[in-house]
Amino acid sequence: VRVERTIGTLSTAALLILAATFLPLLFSAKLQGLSIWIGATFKLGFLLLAALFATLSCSSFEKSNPVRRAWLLMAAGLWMYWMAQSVLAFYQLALDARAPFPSIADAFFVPATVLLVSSLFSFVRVYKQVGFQIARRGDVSVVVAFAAVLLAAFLVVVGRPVLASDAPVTERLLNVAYPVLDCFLFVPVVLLLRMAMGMRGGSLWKVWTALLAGFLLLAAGDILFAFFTTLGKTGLEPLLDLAFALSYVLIAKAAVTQYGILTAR
Amino acid sequence: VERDRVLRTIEETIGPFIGHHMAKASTQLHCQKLGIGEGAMSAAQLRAVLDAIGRGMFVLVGKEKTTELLRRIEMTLGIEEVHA
Repeated sequence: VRVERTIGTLSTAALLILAATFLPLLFSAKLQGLSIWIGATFKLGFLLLAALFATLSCSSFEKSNPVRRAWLLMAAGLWMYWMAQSVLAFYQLALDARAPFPSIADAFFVPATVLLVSSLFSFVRVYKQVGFQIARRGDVSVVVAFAAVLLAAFLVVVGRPVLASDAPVTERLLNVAYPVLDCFLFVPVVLLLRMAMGMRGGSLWKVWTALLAGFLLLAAGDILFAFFTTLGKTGLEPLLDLAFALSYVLIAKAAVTQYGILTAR
Repeated sequence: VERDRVLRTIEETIGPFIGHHMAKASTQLHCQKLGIGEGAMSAAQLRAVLDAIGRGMFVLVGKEKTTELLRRIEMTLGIEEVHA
């Protein structure tokens, strides 16, 4: 209960500070320097917390437990995300410069996203195997169809102009790869949401709603980033920064709460 | 053991983790799948239900906590250890 209360207070405070930091930037760029510091510190701090507690949760499950692999993939993905974010923070805080795109960070971001997608699909498979109602066949079709429509809209609006641009090949490929990976991430997240909503009132409900809300924000942030960049809407970047930072806070909250449940006496 | 008492005990024990609604729904579903109707449950039926519940909790809270929860259910029902 103490762990849950502490991470609950910490994450609520973080959500308020981050909103107060990034939302004013939509109207004035005067506080940009300060917001970069606050944003980078919070992102790194909460990602570290998320990776650490996902690792601890993984090791708390027995080797014979099939869900251990899902937590292992999750922990590996979060550590990679933390490394990628550290590279970005180095540019922003140590060099006082905008991180180039692509950069070394992308060498971590891409495999990190693949690991997180694999982790969520692994959760779906394990929970379905033991009899949880993840989704009916009809639900799966609807979710996959929605993801396919999202992907098609992205490829038409963003993908085509990006691929046809004069930008370096790596940049073009990455601009397409991230949102495509996020569309894959979207599918297990929505499928697991059904199970999570059924757990209303239970302590695991807190884990899964925070985790899935975090991943939804992460995917939405990536997809909107690609749209905004292509459409030249750079003024909306603070909103994306806020989405990414909040997603890390929520994922950290979920990982800490899960570990608290596993170790509570 | 009466079926309703078993359902109530399981719901009260695992409800704080997975929510009372899911605890009740999944226990009823397991009973339905195992062909357990109204009235009293045999030891074998109880064992089958607790095993099914245990498999679900195992992937959510791990072996140690699952064993503890099953033991608590058995103690509340006043029976000897029945799960595998």
